[in-house]
Amino acid sequence: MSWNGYRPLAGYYDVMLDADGSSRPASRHLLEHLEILGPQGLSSVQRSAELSLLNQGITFTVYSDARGTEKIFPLDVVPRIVTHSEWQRLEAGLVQRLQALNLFLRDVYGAQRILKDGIIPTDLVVNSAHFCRELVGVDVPAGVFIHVSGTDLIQNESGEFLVLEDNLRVPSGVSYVLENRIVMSRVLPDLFERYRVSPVDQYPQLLLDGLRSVALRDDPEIAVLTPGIYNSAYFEHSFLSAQMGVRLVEGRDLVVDDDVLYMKTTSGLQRVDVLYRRVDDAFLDPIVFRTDSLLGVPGLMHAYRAGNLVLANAPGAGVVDDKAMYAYVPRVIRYYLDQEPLLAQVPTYLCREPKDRDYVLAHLEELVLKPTDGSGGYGLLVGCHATRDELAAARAAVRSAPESFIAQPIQRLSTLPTLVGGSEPRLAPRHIDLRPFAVYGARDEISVLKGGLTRVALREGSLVVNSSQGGGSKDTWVLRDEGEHA
Amino acid sequence: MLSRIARGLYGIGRSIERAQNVIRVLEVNHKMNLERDRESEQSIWLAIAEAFHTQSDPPSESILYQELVLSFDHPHAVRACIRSARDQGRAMRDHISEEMWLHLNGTYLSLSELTFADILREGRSEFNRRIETFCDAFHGLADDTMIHGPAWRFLRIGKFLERASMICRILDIKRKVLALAPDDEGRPIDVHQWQALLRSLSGYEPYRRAYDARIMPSRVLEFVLQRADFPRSLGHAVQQVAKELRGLNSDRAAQIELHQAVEVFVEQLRMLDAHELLRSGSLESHVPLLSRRCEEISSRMEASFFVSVRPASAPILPIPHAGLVPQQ
Repeated sequence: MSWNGYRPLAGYYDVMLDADGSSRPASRHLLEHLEILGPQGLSSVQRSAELSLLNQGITFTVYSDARGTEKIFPLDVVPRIVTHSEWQRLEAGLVQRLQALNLFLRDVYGAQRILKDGIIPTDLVVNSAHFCRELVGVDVPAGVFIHVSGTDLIQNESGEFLVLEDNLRVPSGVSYVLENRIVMSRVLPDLFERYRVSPVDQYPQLLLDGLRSVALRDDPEIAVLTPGIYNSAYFEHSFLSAQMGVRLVEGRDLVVDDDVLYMKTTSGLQRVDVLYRRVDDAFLDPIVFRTDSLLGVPGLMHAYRAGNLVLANAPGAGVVDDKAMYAYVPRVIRYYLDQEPLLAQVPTYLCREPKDRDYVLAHLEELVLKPTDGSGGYGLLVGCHATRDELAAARAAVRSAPESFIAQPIQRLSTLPTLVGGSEPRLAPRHIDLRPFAVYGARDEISVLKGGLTRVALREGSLVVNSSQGGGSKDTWVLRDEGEHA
Repeated sequence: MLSRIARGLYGIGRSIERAQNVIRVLEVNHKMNLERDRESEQSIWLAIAEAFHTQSDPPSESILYQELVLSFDHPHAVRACIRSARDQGRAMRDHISEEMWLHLNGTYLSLSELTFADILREGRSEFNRRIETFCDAFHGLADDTMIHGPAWRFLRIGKFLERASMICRILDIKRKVLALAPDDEGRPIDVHQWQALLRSLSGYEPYRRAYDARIMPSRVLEFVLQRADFPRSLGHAVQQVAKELRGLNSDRAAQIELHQAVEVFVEQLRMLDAHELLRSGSLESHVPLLSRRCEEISSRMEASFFVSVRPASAPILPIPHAGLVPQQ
């Protein structure tokens, strides 16, 4: 690109440019637009976007600040374009995967055939911290466990999409998808017109329909349970409940009486039929789970087991998005659907297995080591970036508790031009991933939102994209048809 | 609406009104101080201190400012009230307008590092005026930027109930010095006290416009207790509470009873004979009755709107050990 001298990184797949620096077909309009804008123009678009976000209060709470300071979740205005055919393959793979995972959960909390047939090690499942004994034998409404999911995908050096991680407990980020889109259409309207981008604004309706479909009563009362304003994702809880037109409640607004859940309102107690809970399993019910939790409701699990309440997502779903289970998911897909996985995953070494463990210890510098019960990117070791001491400590940890670790070859995450340089703006390649969101309703109806959160690691060379660790986001444009970009 | 939200909005209404009233009382008495002779200074501050239950003895001005303006703990302190309102506002940002939030948060932040020296540097009256203006603007924003639905009504009920309580409290401060025969306009100090009463309620100018410059105790009392078109009278405040309760359209027994109790209070105030109260010397015994009515209404608000009655039920016991493998 002439004003920039943008060069894709050698050996990585760049979404906009191919290896010899020419635009991929679908990104042609984008490249032309960036040329026309130039560095100052793009900077000014970026500033408008940031101002928009700030004014709308699209923030997340930084835990460490006592005043609960809110920061904007950074949006970079260069969008990620996904072609129609790319998306179709991705979506089919996702739907297949989610179906299989839901069947797995139904089985594991029911007849446990997959365990009895020896496909998955039983101890891996039942000893998992996320395995919820109170769910065993429960008739889960409409058989749906994973009403909301956000699967993390990456593209490897050939541009192939791989599943990096399933998020089936309390996945967040969809509100940024929706708000980013509003901001983008405001600051880059001309570019929007050149492309035909699939809309994302129907997500709240999709979610509402999904929650209604699994309800046990007609005209169900739906509520969103939030831990409260100090939770880092509070904005999203408030946003989604407002968009769906349902009530936002905290634990202290709820009470269970005679195995029925109620909200405390100025008109008295009002029954709740479906609770979209953005509170982790452990904090849901102090009688059954963590007794020190103030975020949940005593008796919630009683109401659930009595068949008087729908919880979305179902408790215990975390047993399958545990990193240790990840390596077995292809087997899960084959077992329940008798199909080969349509979406590949990252090759994974399970340190609990001696052969894998030896490999991991010998090749740690080339691997990403992940603890099986970690989340948010903490506790991760990227072999090629680690110091000698860190590597030694990691090896010791693996030797002492091998079942707590998995490792994966360091993936060459795809890149996308991102605005950097502050007062001297320029575009530089930064690593990205993709989190599409799906709603699972009754009768196995799975709706995948055509778009998703593209997260970008803003620091040069960094592969860590989480918001809590210096990541940002980009809008994801799924093209509605092949058009002229074959 | 959720009880917690209703209570929060009600609390914001009370907190902002309280801050404004406290600041106004301080301002009036500061002005009176300047016009006073030495011996009486003590008694004025003492009276205020008594009314707001501070621990000082005897309080100096700077201590009083510490306790009633700058404290973060004292329930009547201006800064404590504004912080409380701001914290509640943050928890209910979805229910107040963005303008209200920015206004509230902005003022809260500007007060967070304030010291008494800062206030003196700014000028007491300038500072007092700034706080009063903030509170007026907040209510103005509430009226003009919120939907006039239940959220707005709870906010207003809080504001007017606090106003009613404060009027009773101010009357309490003044009742000993105000127990005079209605037509006794004798010594200058008494006129001064009646004037101060009016000023404490931003009522001096309105009074003069309604009547004339002559301070007649019975007229003042009537103005302060009954005058329906004077926004800071007790009668007006209670009528507004009744109006908002009506707007809430309750169908629960406790709420209906509360509404009726408020309407009765409205009537009682309407039937008061200020002239007779003063003549018979029963003002001093009547004022605590008014305070009690306000308190009763406040606790009924709590009980009828903010607390849900739970039907009696069996205690919830832990789930017995669930088996790993379901029974065949």
